[in-house]
Amino acid sequence: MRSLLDNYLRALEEFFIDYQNGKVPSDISYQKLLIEQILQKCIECTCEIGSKGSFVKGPEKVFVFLPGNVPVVMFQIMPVLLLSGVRDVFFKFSSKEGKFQECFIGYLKRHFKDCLQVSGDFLSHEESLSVAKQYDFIIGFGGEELGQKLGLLGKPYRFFGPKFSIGILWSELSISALENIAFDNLSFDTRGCLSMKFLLTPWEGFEDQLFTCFSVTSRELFPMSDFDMDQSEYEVLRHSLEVQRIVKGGDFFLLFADKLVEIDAARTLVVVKFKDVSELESIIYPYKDFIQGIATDGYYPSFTSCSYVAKFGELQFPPCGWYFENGIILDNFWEVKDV
Amino acid sequence: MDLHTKVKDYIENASGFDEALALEIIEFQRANIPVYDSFLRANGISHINKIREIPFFPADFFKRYEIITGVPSEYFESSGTSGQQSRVFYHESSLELYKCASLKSFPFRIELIYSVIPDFSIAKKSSLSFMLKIFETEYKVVYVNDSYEIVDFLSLVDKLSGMKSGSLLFLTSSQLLRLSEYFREHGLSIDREILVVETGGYKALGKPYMRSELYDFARYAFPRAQFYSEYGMTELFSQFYSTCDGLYRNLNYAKVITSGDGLLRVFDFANLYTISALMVPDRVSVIGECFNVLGRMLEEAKGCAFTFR
Repeated sequence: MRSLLDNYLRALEEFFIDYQNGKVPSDISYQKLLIEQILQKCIECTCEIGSKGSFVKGPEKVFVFLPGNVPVVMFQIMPVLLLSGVRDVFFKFSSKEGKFQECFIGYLKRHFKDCLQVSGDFLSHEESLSVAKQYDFIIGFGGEELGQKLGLLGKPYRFFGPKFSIGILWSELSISALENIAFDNLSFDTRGCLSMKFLLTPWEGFEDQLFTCFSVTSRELFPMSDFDMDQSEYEVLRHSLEVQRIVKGGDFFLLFADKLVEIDAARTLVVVKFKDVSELESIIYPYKDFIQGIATDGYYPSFTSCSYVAKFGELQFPPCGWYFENGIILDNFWEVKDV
Repeated sequence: MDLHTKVKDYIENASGFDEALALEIIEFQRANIPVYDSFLRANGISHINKIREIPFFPADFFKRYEIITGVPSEYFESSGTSGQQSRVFYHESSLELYKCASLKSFPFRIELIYSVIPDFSIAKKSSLSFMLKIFETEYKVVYVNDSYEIVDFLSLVDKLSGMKSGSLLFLTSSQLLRLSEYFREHGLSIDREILVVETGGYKALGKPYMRSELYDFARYAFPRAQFYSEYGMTELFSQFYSTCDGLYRNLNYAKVITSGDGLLRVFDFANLYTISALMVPDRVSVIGECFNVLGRMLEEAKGCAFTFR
């Protein structure tokens, strides 16, 4: 187990250096700074996990459906597989992103040799479900439709469904907090489950500062190459009548509203104003089962499905041993019901 | 001169984009359509100086709101191939501008139109059928089919076999495909110099088709035809035709404002009584005075973030 983790660490480090040097091919240009920071965190976590020496008995063959636009899930899931004695893993890539993921698999193959069979491909939905059936266990990241299909396969599976993250800015309004909020929102163009989609706050009158912070941060977290400003604008404008104000930046939108507007626009933050805890909780409550992470400067409600509470600017960097959803730890990762 | 007359005159005689008139129209619509006023307010628009500064109104709003100035007499309904249908309300004055723009936009010098699109008396909610009805005022229109589907191929072929050279066949792209398939299967063709004008909507064809691919396929059935495409939609009272070397020709009174590639932003003066500055979820590529329609914007659920549906 230890040597597997060592091999993985070497693969990660080598990949990280090559990524820094622009040697990793990719269909989509990701946010380089963010990917590098997450890779560094994954390296730290691999070291930490390795030093603990804990492991569980997992299945032998695992099929993983990766989500689109968030390429780091592959780095985050690998330690679970290694600590569970998995011998054969297949990653189903999302369309248009195969090059990056395939490249990483190349590093894994070089370092694992025969210790672990790693492969991956972009397959159609039908094909991937048919291939997945040949594996002992299926891990799926994606939309509700995928979750339903996995449920029909008759194989043990763990499905990580769609979720979003929120921020609660309460005790201190500062430029640094606003910059970090911009970072949390623009990460993966707001398309990751740990990307902050809504900011809830009792503060007022900080729109201009927030706009400035977004303008500054967007220079570092520039849009991924498949970002389409027009598509975001259309989605934002479609919801114009549900918000009080829309502010358009060069490559982002800020919306000000009094509720969680059900909008799916990339690089868009919805700022929701509340007066007190009870109002905050009533705004969040209908969405409690869909919350992945909460970035806060103090208070956060405990009734949600949130699996990670962070400081502003740290949503993308969950602690080592975080396994995507609330209550999931290494010891129960492979325990599934209703199969 | 009142605004209606100004717009009508402009559609008939426009020689360039009249920004001042466009701004007057926006103020008129804002004053008379509360939803539009709220839309502009939410986008922080108090006073408008230039058309390029305004947010364009998403065509999707026609699915949710009754958008019209004045009292409507009826409404057109979109085909709803992509889900919920749009309802575009109209009255006598708005139809007058529709008529004016449709006739002005129509670029072909012909006398006779064979329409596979059903008569407006059958398709009472179809703006496309209404457009053909307008054409009756200037051209002879022969209706050769009773619905948007083709049920009786034999009867249709029989009617089309009498088509005269120099006439025009008007039909949806889906009808063109079905008809061409039928002609192929039965070894038939109409070997006359005609114009074929189809109405786009390639996503309804069952598989993704390029326009040129569809025409190549249809050329077997109509070997001496010239093929053109009409780009229109229920929410727009003006139409565009592909007379720009296969691309759609931009119009002064229905100006595509999109720069380069992007979603279609159009200012349609004929929409005086609804909303003129519209954003349509079709991707276009603007090249000089022409533009190409690349297809409908995909709502691709990506990433692991929650998608509201």
